[in-house]
Amino acid sequence: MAWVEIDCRQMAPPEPMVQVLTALESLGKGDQVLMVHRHNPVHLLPILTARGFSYRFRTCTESLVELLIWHKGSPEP
Amino acid sequence: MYQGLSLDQAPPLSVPLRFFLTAPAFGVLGGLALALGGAELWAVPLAGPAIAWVHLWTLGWLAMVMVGAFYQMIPVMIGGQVPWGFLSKWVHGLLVVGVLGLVGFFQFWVPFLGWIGWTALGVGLGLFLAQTSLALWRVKGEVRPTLSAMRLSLGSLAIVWVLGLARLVEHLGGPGLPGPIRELHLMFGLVGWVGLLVLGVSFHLVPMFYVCPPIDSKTAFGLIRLIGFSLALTTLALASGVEGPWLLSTGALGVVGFWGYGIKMSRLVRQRRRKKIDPALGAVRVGFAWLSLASGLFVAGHLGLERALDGAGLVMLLGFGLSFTHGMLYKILPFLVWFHRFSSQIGQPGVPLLGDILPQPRMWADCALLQLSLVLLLLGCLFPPSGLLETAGLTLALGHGYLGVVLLKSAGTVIPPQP
Repeated sequence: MAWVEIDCRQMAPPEPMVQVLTALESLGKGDQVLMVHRHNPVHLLPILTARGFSYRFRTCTESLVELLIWHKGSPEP
Repeated sequence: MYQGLSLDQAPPLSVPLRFFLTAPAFGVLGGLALALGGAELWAVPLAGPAIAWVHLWTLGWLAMVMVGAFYQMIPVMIGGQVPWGFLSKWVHGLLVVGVLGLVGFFQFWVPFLGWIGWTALGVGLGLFLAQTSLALWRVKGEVRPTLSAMRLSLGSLAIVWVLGLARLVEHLGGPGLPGPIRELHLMFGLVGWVGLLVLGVSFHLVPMFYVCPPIDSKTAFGLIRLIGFSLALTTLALASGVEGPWLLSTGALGVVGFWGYGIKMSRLVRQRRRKKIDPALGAVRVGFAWLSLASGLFVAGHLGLERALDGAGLVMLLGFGLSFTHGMLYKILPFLVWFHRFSSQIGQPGVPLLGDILPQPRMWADCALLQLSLVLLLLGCLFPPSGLLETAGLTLALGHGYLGVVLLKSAGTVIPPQP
């Protein structure tokens, strides 16, 4: 099981979305992407669902959120 | 702990786009009206053509852009859901008809057009206020500065709407209104509706697009409360007939609030990761400079400088309002087009980047034309018979025509055919 972390805190839109979606292109079954961001990536979520990914959120602080993404159907991490 | 998040999705691209693409047409009309009217437009500030001209900008440009932005921002920025989404088409159509009717009435004194304007603006903006008020009221959880500013801004629009409709009835032959209705209409429009919305939106968008530290909540709320407090106190002062130093001091609270906002946001933007100045940032910075000039003119007007208060309103409306909304469009429109049309195709060859959708040279050209127009307009106000006002009108019309074409091209971007 592989784990890819993408820290988007220093990226301006739409770079975070591009980086995450590009990483998801090669994501294997059972692997996960962890997106670290300053705010909820509201525009990304419907695309994740449409592309067959599941996700969970964690709000760490007011300016730090983490989004864990994996293939729908893979065991939930 | 990780939690699932259910966030409302952004509205279809057509919702904000129809407002953003219509607004430049009113900019062209506003420019042409100034080019044809020239100094005569300014001879009597309360005469029909002057009122018509001002509303081409306040309703035709500013409200058109801001209403479109509101529909986009409520779901995306504060997680609210705008009910009866299909009504946005009606709001758009009624706003267009309403502005044309209102402007036609004040320009040509045809009462029938005035009643069309009254009905269309009454229903159109009423529907918008109902939709967005309900959406903002229903937002759950912590009240953030952006939400607070948007609520106050919308409340101000409701006041402007009611007072404006009442004033229009008066102009159409209805009973005279007591008290300083014009001053309140102007103040809540420029300071409440435009000013507070700009504050709220920039608290959210500036750190996001420029990767700089966000404003701390305490300062943000402090600025919003100061401006809100100033609005309330100035309303009381105007309603009770107080003038001179008292009126100046209540208004000065708001001036301090806007200056504090400008200084604070400039400091935060200086800490941004990418030091390059893009056209949007350039437009917003110049907008701050116009805001400072408007504040200075406001103070000078209350200290007795002739026509400085009218100048303050004009500089706030066109200098600050136009610069900021142009800058906002440079950022938001290409992002929305990219998101709705291309984000789902990431990974495919030829997918355009933001810079391909709205290239920077085009934005700089629009920004330069706008600022040239505004400087000519300001000089034209100081030296009316010089022909500068007419020239400013032509450049305003040209600039907004150019912006309209640029935005249409951006909205029509497609993936180029691959060899």
